[in-house]
Amino acid sequence: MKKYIATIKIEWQRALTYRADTLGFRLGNFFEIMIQIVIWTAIFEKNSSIGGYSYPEMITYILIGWLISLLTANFGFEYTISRQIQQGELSNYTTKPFDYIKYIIALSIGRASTALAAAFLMNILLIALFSRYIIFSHSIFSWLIIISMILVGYFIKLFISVLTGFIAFWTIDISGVFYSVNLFSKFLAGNYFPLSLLPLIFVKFSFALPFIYTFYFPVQLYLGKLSITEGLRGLGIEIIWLGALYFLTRSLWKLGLKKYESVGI
Amino acid sequence: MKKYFRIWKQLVVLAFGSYISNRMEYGSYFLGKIVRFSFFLLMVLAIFGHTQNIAGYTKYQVIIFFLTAFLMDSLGQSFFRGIYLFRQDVQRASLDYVIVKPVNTLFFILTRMTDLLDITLLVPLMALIIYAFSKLGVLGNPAAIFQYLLFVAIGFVVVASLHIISAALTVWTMESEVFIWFYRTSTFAALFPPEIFSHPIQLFFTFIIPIVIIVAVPAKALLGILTFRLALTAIIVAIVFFTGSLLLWKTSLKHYSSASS
Repeated sequence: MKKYIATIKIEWQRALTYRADTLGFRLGNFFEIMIQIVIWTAIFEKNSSIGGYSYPEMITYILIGWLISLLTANFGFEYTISRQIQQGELSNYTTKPFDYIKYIIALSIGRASTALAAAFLMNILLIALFSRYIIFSHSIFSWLIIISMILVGYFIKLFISVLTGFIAFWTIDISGVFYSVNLFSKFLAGNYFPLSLLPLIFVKFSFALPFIYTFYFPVQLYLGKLSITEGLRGLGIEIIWLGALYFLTRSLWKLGLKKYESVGI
Repeated sequence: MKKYFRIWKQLVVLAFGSYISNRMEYGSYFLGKIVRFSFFLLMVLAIFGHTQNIAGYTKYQVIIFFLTAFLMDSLGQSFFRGIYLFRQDVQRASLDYVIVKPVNTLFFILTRMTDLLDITLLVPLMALIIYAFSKLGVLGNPAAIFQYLLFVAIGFVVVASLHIISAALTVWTMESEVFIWFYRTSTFAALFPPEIFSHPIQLFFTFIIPIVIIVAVPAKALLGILTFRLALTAIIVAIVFFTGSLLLWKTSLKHYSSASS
């Protein structure tokens, strides 16, 4: 356990070395969220309801949704893993007495916790700024389910990130795959707009994938548009996805190691 | 000029070779760009399923802003993709190998990864723009189309300037790829007419991150609602940004210390 805690601490130091980058990306997030709020504010000037959402519901969707999205975010693990594979650095880890997947989990906790601190503060500031529009949920059961979904969602995103990185065992570059997976996950999670605005076929397609449980679904529960029973069912499906992704990660790791040539050392 | 065209052509060939050597990579990026465009277009169309106008603009007028934003983003991505690799060059001091070459360093950095994929995507994008033109009834108006193209060119100068500023900041701080990502995040705001923003925000997007100049000015020129004042502002901002970015780049090179070579 100590070695994984040491990994977390090292990652804190690394993250704090490039503070301008961290601040810059947080400002970028702030911008992205503010722009969405401004756009929807303009749209709601002439409409009291759009796609079943009132203005307070839409603001809540954006702010609470992004908070959940930031709480479940991983930060570029695909590149870390693919670089380690392609440059032969992975050999450092396969020869040491610890589990690589657990190492990645520890690394992600270290990386996420530093970025999260800044992101969380930023989001709380936004929530405070728009507090008169935000709907505050008083359902303890909803909160419990949402917190559980956040925890599970974090690991779902992490394992998807790891799986994308593992593609480097078989290909030269993964940045294109990462770009597409990242885009897909954001759109199908409902990061940019509520999925219910789209034709039903898109919503059904989104429900067939795990991304929706990292943004859209927990926010619908928060807004009271889903019942506790539906929330529990969603959490159950999310846990099944987590199990499947973990199994896939372990399997791909074993297959990848057979392919690994340690080129680059 | 001929020399630089030959160099650029060779860089394009090398970049294309690099892309095509990894078809999965190439295909993934292509798919991602199509998905991004399609989803955002769906969003705009879905919004217009619930409202008749946004800030006084009708559906096809907003679509012109939307398509122009993607056009400028694609142009920037096509010709200046090299900027995204620049941070590594500075951190690993491989910029040294570029500086000693008998070619302008900035030109090499910006254009070494000219993306034919994005250039290919310009074709369907232009087709959609022409379709939007026809819906707005401006296809038979050569003056409007000329103005649109003129201000797209001016906007492109501003896009180039922003990429140069990013390169200059990267030399100084080694971590300013974030500037260009900031600009690209701001282009989400450019998908819609600037009138949805308050006046201070419009000023910010005109003079600090000038996406109004890049996207809104050509769109307004096409729609025949561009004021003389805004047109003049666009030209002045483009000149100031371009000149300023080149000065900044020159200054930043003096600070380059070639650490770790």
